Amino acid sequence: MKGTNLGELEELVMLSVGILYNDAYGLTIQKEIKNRCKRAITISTVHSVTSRLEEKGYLRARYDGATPERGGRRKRLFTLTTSGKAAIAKMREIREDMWNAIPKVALSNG
Amino acid sequence: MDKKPKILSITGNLLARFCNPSMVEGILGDLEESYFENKVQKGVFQTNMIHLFQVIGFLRPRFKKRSKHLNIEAMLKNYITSTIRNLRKHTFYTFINIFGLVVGMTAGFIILQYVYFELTYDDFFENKENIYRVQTNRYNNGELSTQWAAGCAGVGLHMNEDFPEVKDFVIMHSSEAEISYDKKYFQLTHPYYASANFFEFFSLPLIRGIDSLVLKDPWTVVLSETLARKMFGDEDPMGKRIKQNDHTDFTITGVFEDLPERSHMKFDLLYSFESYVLFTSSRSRTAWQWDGFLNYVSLYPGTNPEKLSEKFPDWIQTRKGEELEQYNAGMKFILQPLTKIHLISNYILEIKPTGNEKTIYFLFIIGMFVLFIAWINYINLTTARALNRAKEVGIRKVLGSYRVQLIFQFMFESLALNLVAFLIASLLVLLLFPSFNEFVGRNELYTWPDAPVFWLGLLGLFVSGFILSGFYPAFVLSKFKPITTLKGKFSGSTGGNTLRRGLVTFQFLASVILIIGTYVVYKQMNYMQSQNLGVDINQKMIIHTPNFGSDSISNIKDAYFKNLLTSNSSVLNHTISTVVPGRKSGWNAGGIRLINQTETESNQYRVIGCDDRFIDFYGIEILTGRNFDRTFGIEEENVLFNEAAIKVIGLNDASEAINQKIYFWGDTFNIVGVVKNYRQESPKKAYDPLIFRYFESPGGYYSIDINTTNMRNSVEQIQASWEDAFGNKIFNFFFLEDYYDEQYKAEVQFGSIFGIFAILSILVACLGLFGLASYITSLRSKEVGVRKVLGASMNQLLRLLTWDFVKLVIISVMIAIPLSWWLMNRWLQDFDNRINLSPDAFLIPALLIVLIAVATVSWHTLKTASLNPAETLHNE
Repeated sequence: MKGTNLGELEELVMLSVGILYNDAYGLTIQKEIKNRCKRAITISTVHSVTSRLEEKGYLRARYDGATPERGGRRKRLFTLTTSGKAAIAKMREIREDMWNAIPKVALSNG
Repeated sequence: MDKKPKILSITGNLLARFCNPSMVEGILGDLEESYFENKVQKGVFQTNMIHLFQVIGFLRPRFKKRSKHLNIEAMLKNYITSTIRNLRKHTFYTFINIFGLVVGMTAGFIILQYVYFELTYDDFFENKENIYRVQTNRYNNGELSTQWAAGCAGVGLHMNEDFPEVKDFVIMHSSEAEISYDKKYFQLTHPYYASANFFEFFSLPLIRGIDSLVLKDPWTVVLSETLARKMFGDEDPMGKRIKQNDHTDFTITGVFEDLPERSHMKFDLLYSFESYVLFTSSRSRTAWQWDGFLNYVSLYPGTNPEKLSEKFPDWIQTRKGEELEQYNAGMKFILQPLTKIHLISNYILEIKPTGNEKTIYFLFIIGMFVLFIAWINYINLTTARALNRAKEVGIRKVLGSYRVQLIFQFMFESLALNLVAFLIASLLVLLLFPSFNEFVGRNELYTWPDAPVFWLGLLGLFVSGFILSGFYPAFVLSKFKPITTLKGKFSGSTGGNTLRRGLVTFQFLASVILIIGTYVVYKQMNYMQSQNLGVDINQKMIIHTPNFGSDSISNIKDAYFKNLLTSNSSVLNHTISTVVPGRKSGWNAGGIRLINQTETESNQYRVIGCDDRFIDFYGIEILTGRNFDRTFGIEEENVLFNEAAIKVIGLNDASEAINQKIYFWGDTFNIVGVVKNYRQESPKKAYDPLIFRYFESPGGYYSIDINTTNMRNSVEQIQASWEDAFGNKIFNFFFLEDYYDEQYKAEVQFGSIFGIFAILSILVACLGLFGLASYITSLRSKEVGVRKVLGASMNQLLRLLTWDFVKLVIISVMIAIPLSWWLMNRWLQDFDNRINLSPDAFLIPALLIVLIAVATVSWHTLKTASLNPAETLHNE
């Protein structure tokens, strides 16, 4: 089905949203990915990915939590939707299955 | 908290304008937060830069505002659909429109590129704005006698000495010498002697050698890339010695890049001018009475060439005034701008044939005519058929279309049609380009212009055409008030009738001018070609003689060859002369007078050197006296005159001339005969005064009357004799008829191009008329029905329907006649020998076009008039 595949970056963003739980918005997601993966992505890329994930129905956005540093603007906070949760769970399952399918000898040193 | 930096409000505004409103608050908040975080760690400048990059990152389609009001995509889609539907529904009109536009554009583009080519000759020279060629005019008793491209020798040098405005000069003199290397002879195109500074002066690139040195020393020579390859293949030509005329060695000091085709210059070899000076005398640098030298001068930037030219008469007077007065002669120098030479110059001793400015402008006008006629077709057909679209416009307006939107829609339709026509025309132009080149006699080296100017011009033409032809109809069509169109009472008069009539008149005006032009050109060509030339040019084979100057025993070889020719069964007759009919004699001699006349009565003549067979060979009639005849003794002291020369020397009658003594360059000659005027040059020129002098072996041409039953065999036999006499010297021959006809080539081509485009323009104009007539008459079918019922006769009906159109054609004929009379008179000025513009030259084409127009219109009017009124009226 078109649009339900998860790209690598999309997966990272969704995992970050999960980690950040109630404080997932553009900047925090960017920092989370930077800290955990040592990957610098631009803020516009984050917004672009989240908007794509919204379209796919994996994320839900709401406005809340205005602060003075933001010039009084609210944050666009994201949470995982049910299908979003299912999608990353599915992703994890596939990975684990595949890991389990690798013969031990293939991973042993030498 | 700091005051909010200005940059944030600017970028904030920008993004707020650009971005999707549902996301904009989050984006701006994130940006501002990150801005202040960065500012704590980094400098203001760096923060600002990071911020800007972040902002740019948001300028992508994903964040774009989805417009609610103007959905361009959907609108375009709608335009396309309605355009396609409309074009398909009316295939006939679509076809007429596209066909007309294709023909017009193809003709226009082909002509434009041709004109562009001709106008951009010598554009590649770096210093072209400041380089001029000095053209020499010579006067005789105050009358212009000769005009030289390659004029007097000393003029460049002396201008450089006397005028501070003149920066530098170059002198060139053509060489007839033969070139051989390793006993092999090579055919050359226009070899010249040229000044040492030639390559610097023109900034022409050398592949080998240094520009200031290659022609510095005597006995040096520079070759073109192509010639060097032809002579030496892959060997290095530098330092090789080639032989000129079998006895003088020249050392190759350089190789130059072949000149572009688009130049008035063409040569594949240049000797140093120093060598020529050593061959002749130092006077070949300074002489004023010696023609045949191309002089180019460069002026300091900012010099006004007209101001400089104004000083020439006084200067000539100071330098050579007395000497010229002595011979009753005068001189004039004209500065020809380098880039104009190809267009304005066509004088004696041009390097290669030049173009003609008038032809170019005529062609340009013709091309534009055809294009305009096609655009007018579009305007006329679209506005005339406005009625069909009136209801559509009404509905659209009721549904809320703005007028601007409707204008866009109709402009879009016109763009679509123009674009389709443009694409087809481009394809056609590409296909036709090679044959067009062949047709106008250009070789395959001509390619499409690569200058952006040309392509921009073409694009500009396309865009302006589309706007011109699209804007007015769009304006008219979008004007209708919905209430009138939808009530069904909308009448046939759609406005713009006057304009439409004006446009049709213009179309036919252009067509009539073109037809009259074609007819006049055709008549003039016919007149020239049907003239009695007074000379027999049929079945003559002409061979260039070898260079007799090269060989001390050339007389013997020449005599031997002539003997071989006489005994050759393929040769009926032969002669030798300095020139053959078909060109002006390059031997111009001044100071000639009767022995009892004073020097001030002397004049200039063209001289032909020939043996005693020449006159008979060419069937030239002797009026009085006798031909040269060796049996009479020393014929070298005798001359023949033609009638024109008799007149110039001041004798009333040919018979008076016999045994008169003339003074010619320090010697005395005796006139033994007078020949009738014949066409040595193209019949377009007046008769030139000619003097014939006797020579046993003048270098120039062998003319041979050959047996044509087995042409190939004859040529082979003659070549065998040639090789017997002259060894491996180049055997270079041609046939006189072709050579003679080349003189008319330009005119014949001009005539055919004129003809083709005239036919095209009429075709397109008639197509337009056809479409217009079909539509207008169909509108009047009910009126015709009523008239028929009321008893109108077929004749009356036909007159009624046809007259509207024919009236316009007749008006255009009336305007076209004086216009084309003026134009064609100007064209005919180039011919000394020309037709008179008689009324038939205008009446026949005019009648023809009226007939064509009547035929075009009556196709429909007949159909409409013969319809059964019951049919046209029953659906009321």
